[in-house]
Amino acid sequence: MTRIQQVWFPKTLEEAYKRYLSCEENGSYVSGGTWLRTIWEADHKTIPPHLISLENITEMSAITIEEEKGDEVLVIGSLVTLNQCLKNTLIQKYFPSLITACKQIAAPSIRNQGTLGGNIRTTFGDTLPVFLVLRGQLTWFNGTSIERESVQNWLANPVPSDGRILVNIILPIKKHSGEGNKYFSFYKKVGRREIFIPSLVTVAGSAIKGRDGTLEEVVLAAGGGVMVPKRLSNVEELLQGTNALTKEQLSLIYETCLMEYEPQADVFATAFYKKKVAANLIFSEWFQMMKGENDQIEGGTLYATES
Amino acid sequence: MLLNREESRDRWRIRPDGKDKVTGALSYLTDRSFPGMLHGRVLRSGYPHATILSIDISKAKELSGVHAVLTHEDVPGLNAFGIADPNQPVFCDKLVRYEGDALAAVAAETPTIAEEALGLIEVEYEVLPVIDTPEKALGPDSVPLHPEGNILHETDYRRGDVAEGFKGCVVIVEETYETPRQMHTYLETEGGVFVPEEDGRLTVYAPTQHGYKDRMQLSRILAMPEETIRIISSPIGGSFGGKDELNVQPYGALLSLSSKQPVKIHYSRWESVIAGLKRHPMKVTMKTGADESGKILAHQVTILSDTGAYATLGGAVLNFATEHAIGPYAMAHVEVKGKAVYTNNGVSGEFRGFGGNQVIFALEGQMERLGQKLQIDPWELRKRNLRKRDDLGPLGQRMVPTDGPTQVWEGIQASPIWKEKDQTGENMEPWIKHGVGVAMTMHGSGLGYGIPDPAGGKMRLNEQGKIEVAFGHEEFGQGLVGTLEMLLQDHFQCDKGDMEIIIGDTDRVPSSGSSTASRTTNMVWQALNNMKEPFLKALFKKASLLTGIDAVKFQTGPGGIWLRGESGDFPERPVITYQELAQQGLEDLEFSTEFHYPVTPDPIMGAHYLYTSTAVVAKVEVNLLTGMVKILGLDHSVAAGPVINPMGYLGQIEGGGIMALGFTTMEDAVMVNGHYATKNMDSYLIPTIFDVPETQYVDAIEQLPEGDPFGPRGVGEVGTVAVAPAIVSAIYDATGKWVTKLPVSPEELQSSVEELPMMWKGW
Ligand SMILES: Cc1cc2nc3c(=O)[nH]c(=O)nc-3n(C[C@H](O)[C@H](O)[C@H](O)COP(=O)(O)OP(=O)(O)OC[C@H]3O[C@@H](n4cnc5c(N)ncnc54)[C@H](O)[C@@H]3O)c2cc1C
Repeated sequence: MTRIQQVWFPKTLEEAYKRYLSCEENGSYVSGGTWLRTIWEADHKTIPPHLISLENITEMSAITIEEEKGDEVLVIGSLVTLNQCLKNTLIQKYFPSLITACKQIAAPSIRNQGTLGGNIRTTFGDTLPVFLVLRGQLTWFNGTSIERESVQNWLANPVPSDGRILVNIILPIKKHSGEGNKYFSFYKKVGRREIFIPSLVTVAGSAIKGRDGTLEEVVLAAGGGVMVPKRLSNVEELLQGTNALTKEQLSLIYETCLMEYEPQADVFATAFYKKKVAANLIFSEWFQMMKGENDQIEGGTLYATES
Repeated sequence: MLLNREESRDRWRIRPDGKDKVTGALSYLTDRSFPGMLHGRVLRSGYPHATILSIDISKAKELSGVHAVLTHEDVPGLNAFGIADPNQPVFCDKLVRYEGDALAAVAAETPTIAEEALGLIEVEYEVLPVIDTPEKALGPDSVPLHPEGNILHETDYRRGDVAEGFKGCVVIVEETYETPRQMHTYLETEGGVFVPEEDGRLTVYAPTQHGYKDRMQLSRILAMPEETIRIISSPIGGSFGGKDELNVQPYGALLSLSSKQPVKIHYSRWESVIAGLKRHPMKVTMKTGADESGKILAHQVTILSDTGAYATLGGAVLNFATEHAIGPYAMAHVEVKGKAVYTNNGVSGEFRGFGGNQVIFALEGQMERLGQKLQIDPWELRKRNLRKRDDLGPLGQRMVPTDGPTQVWEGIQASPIWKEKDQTGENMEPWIKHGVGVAMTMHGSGLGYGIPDPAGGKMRLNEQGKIEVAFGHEEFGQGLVGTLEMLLQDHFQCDKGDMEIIIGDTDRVPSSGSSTASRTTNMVWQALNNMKEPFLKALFKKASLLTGIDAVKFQTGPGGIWLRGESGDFPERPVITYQELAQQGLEDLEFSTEFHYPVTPDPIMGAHYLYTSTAVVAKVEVNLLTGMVKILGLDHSVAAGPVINPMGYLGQIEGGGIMALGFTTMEDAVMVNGHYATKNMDSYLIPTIFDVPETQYVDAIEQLPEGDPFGPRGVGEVGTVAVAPAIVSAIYDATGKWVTKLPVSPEELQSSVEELPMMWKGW
């Protein structure tokens, strides 16, 4: 049995990174520690002798609007907790689907501790499909400098313990100009119970519906369970530029979705079930979007509040 | 009456233990600590089936901070426990029959050292093939898990001739129903503190539903006279049947006696899942036939129950299931055959509803199908088959007359949900479906014929001048204390401060039997009735001697004895206070009663005498995108005699309803090859507040047949027994799909409809 020997509280990125290197295989970064504790408890991993808490690195806790090449971006520090995210007016205004996703993670006490960075870093946190759809970028501290890459690139090949520290998440704030254009976005999570439940399937998406009903800029991503989420590019492509769809076209899109989304089976659900859930959810969102009734974000009420 | 604040008026009482429980202020037995207390842990096999080649504890013993390491060699008495049949080893010596089997126990100065010591115990096993289903256990090549084989118990009830009966039927429906391994999921996992006293006695602070039974079982294991063991057993953080059997007690007791120090054991949730009892998973096959008028002519049932590795109450649960597979229906030709079968799965045992929930799901499913086939409204079909007030019971036994089934059959129709029964819902989206379903049943209380079911209580004026009652019953959250307070105030019109209620301590209470089988309320009601008259007589006699006033003029009231005022108004103060009476000596002011739970005169094993009835209506929403079911409404009509404590009654039915909702829609302790796959509450799911309807309307029908002497029946279980079939029938109403296996599989529901693009009919 391993017992905790040391918890470190570095104050800077450099200090944290050095500590990590010096611990060799025996250290782990900790933000909220809420994901780590589940795998320790389940005996998937023993508690390493060196825990490197990131909580004193102040530069990773802010949420700010910045300008990049004339466009606005929202910069979210990786230490921002899920609950801070929920309360933030900028996120509420610009990225409501991230709010929807955060609301459905765990429960209030865990959202007070758990961070966005930790959620992302697990590679299958429930927020990830949203970041894929929002075309989020990640900045990492690699020991000497800050690197930047898209969420999508990183998820294509996430190196588990490369020692890099996730610093910020950068989300482009889109201007959806154009007369009569409507911007839709959604996030759906399905678990075995209404709330406080690991996901079986998560789906996020966004699109712009032109005045004549034509869909543009369709982006879809799906994840769930311990699957690394990914974009559904083939489905996106089939929807791009479409207006009304025939039954045959719909069937093709549905089948493509079943093919492209590749979840794993578990004790509680087959992979096929998960595929069908994802396809159904995308279909139902498309249905609502075409009906044009719902340009609001879905699923807003179903979460436990603290009060 | 509809159970709510308005209808209940001054009887709507907040439970005395409520605030402390909700705020976390209450100290449970597992919260206690004693000076020098050690921490106990149990080594579990981890193998579902294996031969033990050797156990070596030498390294663990040497670890600093370890005070005791025990194995089967250290059990002074019987190395086994079990309420009905003690066939579960305290410590295994040769054979391991499930992954939770205990091999050794350790007491150490800290939990960490205890855990480390467990890791130092070396056990060599020869792993054996796992018998993980009753079918395998009954197979021709299966090895016997116990000397008597793999069948713990069989039932075989026949009346008439089913083959003959089926000949006259115009419709016959046959179906197999399966139910899950539900976990009790008490908030407080099993635990306790064990204190060896200086006088050689042992005090056990550990939750149980039956203190005296634990004392007897421990005395057998420890080879100590029962009187030298004191069991303190309340308050309990939930039990639902799961703590009736011994759990931590043998280990805590042995470790504390061996180390001569207090020892605490408190299972983690993980250990509780592996070691604790579950509800018996059952496979129930029913073949039921009726004539064209809907009259059931023949009903044939087989029940296969997975009792797991050991007996505990698996036999009694099967008896209960056998009786309740017939239910409130009068049927001429009946055959019910049941088998409770040993496997290498976790141990199944007592659980709220006691085998009724499983078979009632099946029986009510049959009623629905018969009605459909005959094109008779299934609710009307039930009516045509309901038993009459004075009919014999399900097993042909004489039982207390009851109109319950008819009362609830009518009563449930007042529910607002009922009115939506035949409406076709106007749904927002094509993939959202609503449905309404109903079910009913009759549920026996008490342990049934052939099982000792003693009851009793004590009443006295104590040294402090309080009316003291003592019962061997337990408070595990069901609200016994609140109900007792109300009963005492009804009897004596005294203040809350004038009474003292003692439960859960074998040194201070009489043996009252177990707090199970919906029997407690009824037993304390009867006990108080028995003792009240002689107690009052003695009290008044003494008051009369001391005051010179004629005893016939007295009545009890707040603070003491009052004059029965001519105008009916109370004077300023009592004639004599309870304290003044107590100061003058307590002799002759103590009474006790002993009696047996009412039982049928007919010698039919397990047959019940007292019954309650329930009908449930459920409204569901099925989302065909996911197959997920949401319960929008769940209302109950319950006939269980007079309501003593409306809030307590409501709490039992609501809580039972939610527990049964979980049984129906999500709860299942999944076992894969003899191992629990649901090891914690992130995968073993119980309903949250978002999964349950906002309000459950509960209509309590109080009226009993004239002259009924038995008073209020217990309602601890009846709220759970008919929920599953109501929900499943609502799902059928919504989707046209019959669910036969619980918990409902969203995958099954989702796959039962055509793919969405095919459903698509355009805008
Ligand atoms: C009861 C319960 C329910 C839960 N439910 C959900 C759920 O519904 N959905 C969901 O997605 N998650 C859920 N979780 C998991 C977890 O709470 C969340 O994913 C949370 O966002 C993780 O954040 P954290 O700060 O606690 O991460 P931590 O546990 O601190 O860390 C997670 C991982 O990321 C690494 N790490 C953390 N920060 C950084 C950084 N800045 N740079 C580099 N590496 C880093 C850690 O070393 C670790 O490997 C649940 C957890 C619990 C206990």
